Amino acid sequence: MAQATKRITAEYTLISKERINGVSEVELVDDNIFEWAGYIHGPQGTPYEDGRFRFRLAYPDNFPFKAPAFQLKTPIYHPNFDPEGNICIGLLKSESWKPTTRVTQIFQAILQLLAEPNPDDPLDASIANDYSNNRSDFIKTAKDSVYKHATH
Amino acid sequence: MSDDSDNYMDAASFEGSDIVEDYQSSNPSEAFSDDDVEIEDNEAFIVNEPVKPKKSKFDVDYKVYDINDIISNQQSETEQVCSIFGLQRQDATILLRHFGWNREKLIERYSEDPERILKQVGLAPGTSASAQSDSRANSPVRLKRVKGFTCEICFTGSEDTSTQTLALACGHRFCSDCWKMHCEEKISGQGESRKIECMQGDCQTVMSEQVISQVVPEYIFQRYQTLANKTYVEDNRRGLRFCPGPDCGNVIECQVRGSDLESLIPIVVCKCGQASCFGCSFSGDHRPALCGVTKLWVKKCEDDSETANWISANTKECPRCHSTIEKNGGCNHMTCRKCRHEWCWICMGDWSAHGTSYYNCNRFEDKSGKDARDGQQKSRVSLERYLHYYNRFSNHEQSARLDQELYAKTERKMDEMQRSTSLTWIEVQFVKKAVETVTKCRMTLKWTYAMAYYLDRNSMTELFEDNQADLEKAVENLSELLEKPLDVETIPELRSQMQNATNYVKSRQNILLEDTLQGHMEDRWSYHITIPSLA
Repeated sequence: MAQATKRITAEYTLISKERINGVSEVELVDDNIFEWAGYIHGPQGTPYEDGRFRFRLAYPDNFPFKAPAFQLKTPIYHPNFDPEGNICIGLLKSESWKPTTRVTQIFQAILQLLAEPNPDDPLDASIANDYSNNRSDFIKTAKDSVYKHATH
Repeated sequence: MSDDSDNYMDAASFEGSDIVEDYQSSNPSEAFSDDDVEIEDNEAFIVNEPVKPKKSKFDVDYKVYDINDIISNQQSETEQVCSIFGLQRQDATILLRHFGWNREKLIERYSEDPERILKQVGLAPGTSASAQSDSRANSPVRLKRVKGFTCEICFTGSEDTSTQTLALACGHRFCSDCWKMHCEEKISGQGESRKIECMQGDCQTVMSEQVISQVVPEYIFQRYQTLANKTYVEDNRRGLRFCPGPDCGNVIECQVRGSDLESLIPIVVCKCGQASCFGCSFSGDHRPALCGVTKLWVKKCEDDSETANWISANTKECPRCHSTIEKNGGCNHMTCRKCRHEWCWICMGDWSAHGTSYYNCNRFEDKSGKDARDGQQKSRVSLERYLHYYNRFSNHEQSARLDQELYAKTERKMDEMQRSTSLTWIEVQFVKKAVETVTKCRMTLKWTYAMAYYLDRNSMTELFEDNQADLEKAVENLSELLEKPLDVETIPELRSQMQNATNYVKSRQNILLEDTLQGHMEDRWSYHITIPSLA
C-alpha cells in the first residue's frame, strides 16, 4: 500500500506537469489517489477525432505489481471496448503486465488503439465485423455515436 | 463417559485401518486368475519402485505416490536433463516447466537450436548495456546492498542510503521489496508457478526457484512449491492424476489410452481408501459400466430425473396430439390448447361421450377412452423405461446409505455387547464385514442398472440380467439379516448365517463382474445408443 501510494503519487505529479497529447483534465476522484478520472480525445483522422471520452483509471492496492483497470464512461463504438467501456489490451492483462510500465504508456496504448482498432481480438464481435467488412458503415456509426455521446 | 469414548475411539481407529486392508483383500478381482500379467514399460516417467503387479486382466497397473515421491520424481527428471546438456539444475527445471515436463520434446528442440530455446524460455540474458556490465555469466543471482540506489518501480532510495537490491542475469536491478511484491502477486494473486518473469517491460528473463526463495517469505515459497507440484501433475496429463479423496494429496500414476476405455474400466484405489476411475475421473467404482456409459448416465440423471418424475406424476398427454398437459384446476373437462380436443382427465375419452352433465365418468369400458389410454401408454414407455432403471439405480444408492446408518447403530451395540458379555471384539466383527460387502455390491448393482438402460434387448442381455438378479437377491437377503436384532443368545447362529450369506454375495459379485468385464473385452454387449468415446 505504501509502495503503491508513493508510485501513483509520483506518476500523478509527472502527468500534471507534463501533459500528454490526447489526455486532459486528469484529476483524482474524491481526492483518492487510487482513482483517477479525465478525458481521452479521439486522435485526428479517426472517426473519434471530434470526441472526448470520460475515463476512469482505478489502481489496485498492490499497484504496480498488478495492473490498474481502465474504463471509458462515455459510450464508444469500437471493436475493443465492451458496452460497459471495458477494454482488452495486452499491456493491462494480468499475465503480461510489467511493474515498470508507466501510466503514460497506458494512455499511449489506448490512444493507439483508438487510432487503429484491433478487430482480431475484439470485445464486441459485431462491431469488429462491421469494422472489417463494412468500413464505411463502421465509420458512419462511430461518428454518429461520437456526435451523440462525446461532443458535449 | 470419557472412558467410553476412549474405548470407542480406539476401536474406531483400529477399524479404520482394517477397512483399507479389507477393501483391498476383498477386491473382486482377487478371484480372477493371475495370468496375462503385462507390465508396460513407460519410459516417459521415472518409476522409483516397481509398479504393483496386475491382479487380473480386468485390472490396470497403477501406483500411488505421495507428495515426496512427486518431488523426487521431478528432481530425477531434472537431473537427467542436466546430465544430457550439461545445464545447471535451476535452468533445467525452467526448461522442463516450459515444455510441460515433456522431456522428449525438450531434448529434441534443445538439440536443434539451444540458443533459440534458451531465449524463448527466458534464460538468455538481455543485451542492454546494464546487462552486459552487470551480469557475470553463470554466477548465482544474489541480493546485494547498493548505496545511492533508487528503485525505478517504487521510487524508494536516495543518494545516501543503501538499499537491498537484486538483478537477474538480464541486469535489471530493483529493490528487494519490489521483487517480493512481484512474486507475491504472481504466486498468491495469479497462482503462477511455471514462469515468473523479470519486472522490466519487454524483458522475458525468468526467475529461478533459487532467486524466488531469496525474496519471498517462507509461506509464499511453500505455496509456490505446492503450485509447481500441482502443475507437474497436471502437465503429465496422460499419466498422473490427483486422488479425488477428501483431503488426500496423493497422486496416482496409471497408463491408459483413451481407446482402452472401450473395453477396460481402470478403477484405482488410493492408499487413503478412495476408489476412483482413472479413465473418466469419476470418484468411485463404476464397474461394470464403461466410462462412456457412466458419463451418459450421470448426465441423463442430472438433466432428466427430477423433470421426468414430475412429468410422470403430474401430467398426461392429449389423446389426439400428444402434447404434454398439466392439469391446473379441479375440473376434469380438458381442452387442449394446441389442437382444441376436448377430453376427460380421468378416463381420457372424448368429452362428448360424457354428455352435457358436469361430471359423469363411470364409462370405464368406453372405447375412445381405452384407445387414448393405450396411446398414452405407448408414448410413456420410454419415460417409464428410464424411471424403471433410474429408480433401481438410486434405490441402491440410498439403501447403501441406510445400510451404513444401520451399521453405525449396530456398531454401538456390538461395542456394548463386547463389554457386557464374554464375546471378544473379534467375534462381533462379522457384521462389519457384512455391511462392507453389502455396500460394495450395491455400488456394483447400481451401475448394472445404468448399463442395462443402454443395452439392447437380446440373449446376452438376458444373461446379464440373470446375473444381476442373482446378485440382487443375495444382497437383499444379506441386507435383511443385518436388520435382525442382536441378542447374546442368537449371536452364534446369526454369525454363521451372516458369514455364509456374505461369502455368497461376494461370489455372486465376482461372477457378475467377471462375466460383464469379459463381455466388454469380447465386445459382446450391444447398446441401442452410441457410447461416447473419451479418447
